[in-house]
Amino acid sequence: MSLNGWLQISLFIACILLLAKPMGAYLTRVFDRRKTFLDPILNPCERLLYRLTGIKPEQEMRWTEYAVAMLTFSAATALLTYIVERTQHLLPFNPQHLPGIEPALALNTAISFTTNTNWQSYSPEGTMSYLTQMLGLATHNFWSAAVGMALAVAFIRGITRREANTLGNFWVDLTRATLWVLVPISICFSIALVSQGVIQNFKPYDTARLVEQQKVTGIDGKPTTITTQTIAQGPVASQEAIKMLGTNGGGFFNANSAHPFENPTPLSNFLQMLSIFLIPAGMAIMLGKMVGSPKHGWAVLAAMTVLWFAATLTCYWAESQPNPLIHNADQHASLTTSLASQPGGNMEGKEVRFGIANSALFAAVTTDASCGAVNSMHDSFTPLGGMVPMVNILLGEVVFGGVGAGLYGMLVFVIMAVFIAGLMVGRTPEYLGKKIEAYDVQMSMLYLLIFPFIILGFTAVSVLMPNLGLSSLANHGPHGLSEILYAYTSATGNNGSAFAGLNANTHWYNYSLTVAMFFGRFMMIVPMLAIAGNLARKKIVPASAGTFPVTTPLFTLLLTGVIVIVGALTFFPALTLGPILEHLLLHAGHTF
Amino acid sequence: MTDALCILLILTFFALAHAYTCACDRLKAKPRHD
Repeated sequence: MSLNGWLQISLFIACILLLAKPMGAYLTRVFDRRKTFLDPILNPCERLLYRLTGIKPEQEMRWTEYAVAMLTFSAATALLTYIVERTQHLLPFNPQHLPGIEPALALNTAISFTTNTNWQSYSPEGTMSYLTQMLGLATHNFWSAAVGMALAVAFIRGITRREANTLGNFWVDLTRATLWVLVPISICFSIALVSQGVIQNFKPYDTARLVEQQKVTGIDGKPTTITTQTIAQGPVASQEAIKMLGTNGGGFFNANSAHPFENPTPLSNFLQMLSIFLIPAGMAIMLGKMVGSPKHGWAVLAAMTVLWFAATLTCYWAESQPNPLIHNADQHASLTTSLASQPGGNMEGKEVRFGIANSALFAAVTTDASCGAVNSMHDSFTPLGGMVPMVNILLGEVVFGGVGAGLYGMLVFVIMAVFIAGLMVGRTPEYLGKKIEAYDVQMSMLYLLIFPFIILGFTAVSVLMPNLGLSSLANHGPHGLSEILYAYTSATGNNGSAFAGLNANTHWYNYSLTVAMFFGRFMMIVPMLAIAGNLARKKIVPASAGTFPVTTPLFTLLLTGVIVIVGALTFFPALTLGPILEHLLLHAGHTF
Repeated sequence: MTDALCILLILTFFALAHAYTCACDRLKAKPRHD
């Protein structure tokens, strides 16, 4: 670990904490339908959209109506993406004449982008036409993020309203999240990315003649000489901006944010990380403002920051260690010579222009939030370094989390925390004046149990049925288990990053990951909305001496503890068989 | 044929989610016996 690395990490979190307050204030104005500086341009657009679609913005929705509107919208957009993918060979903006996408992969991708996961079982530049990337995928980056924000706002309304049956209007929240938040910031961010060298064009792919011919062995075993290289092009900057801002993560290229056309400079890398956390941090502050307790928003943001710091510290420390097998390969090597061959630690799978600090930080940020973009290969991390991104997702994607999704996930943990605090002192738990009763806890438990049930269930089936789960696995032993566990964790947590080493473009993985992504999104949203609907119906009880304060460091500590304990109790056994065992075996001289 | 099945699968997923929403709502409406 270096001073330079820590300075960059400190600068990053300082920027996030500085931007959180203005972002939170702006989000509050947007969702409270108060005046903003963009109103003169966007109000007419909003009115036109409502007129065209027949939406009545004043019409309020019960939680079930809100859920059905969200499901209907998601179903329609998923179908649109599926059709675009299947017919891309008939549609324009396909200069490479790429064929229509195979049904299982098209289904997987449609659900993946609808659920804000952006899991990609394919290499985008060799599979998706420009139109598919724009109309099928980039649009979902806006829509799925806006859906997440709308749901978080609905939950907050559930907390703030008293004896009400409704949570707002889904269509209005969706429209305002898109028009007022995602589109303007994405435009500014795209321009910033273009200034750094991110490409934006509709040209066919370039072909470059290699300075030095390469002799390789083909998959048929015959030697081949390669003399040219195809250089993919496309409208990257416009997709890249919302990919990060909406915590989507699906890359325009297979190498994602490690590709120089997606993430060319250290500054673009810094801006990308900043944009992942920008809205989730602002939403925590928005929570405080909307519920009339700004300190509560800061307390929630503090819990997120503590967990982020623990992840970054662990990952950075682990990746700063030299690989012991390389060190031991030369029996006469001292630690100094080993470090000389591995400058700064484990550089395998990392871009030299980002280095270890920015790779570890990016890995922590992208998996704390449910983004899933990568600038280094998590599969090449040390076992403990690779465990960090996995643990971040296994905690439930609540450490900043996805746009909106992180906040409502965190609020479910808040309900569990105040419930546990209530149990400890023998009082009916309260949260911001609302009594937490049996139904709220039942729905919270449903929310928390679906997640491990899908991850561990599918991982177990994949491991126990070699023809299904093991046939496309590149590594065996604990590393192989980590690759499978990571795939289902990433899909269910709607993160979308891959551990690599696993070819997921098989029928089993395409279909099972589709189910994991779908259930991991919508089957968790429904109980969350049910809690919101139930909270909205309740009276507000005045705070008393027995009320557990939710604005103090003790609350932050309790919330952090509940998140860690729930995650550890659920997933520690699986982690011991994967990355922890691999770490111990690596130091005993075994690799996988 | 496969396309029809995939589209049916997408619609089935969302129909299931809708049924699940109704089930969660009914759980609240159910009278308590404790």
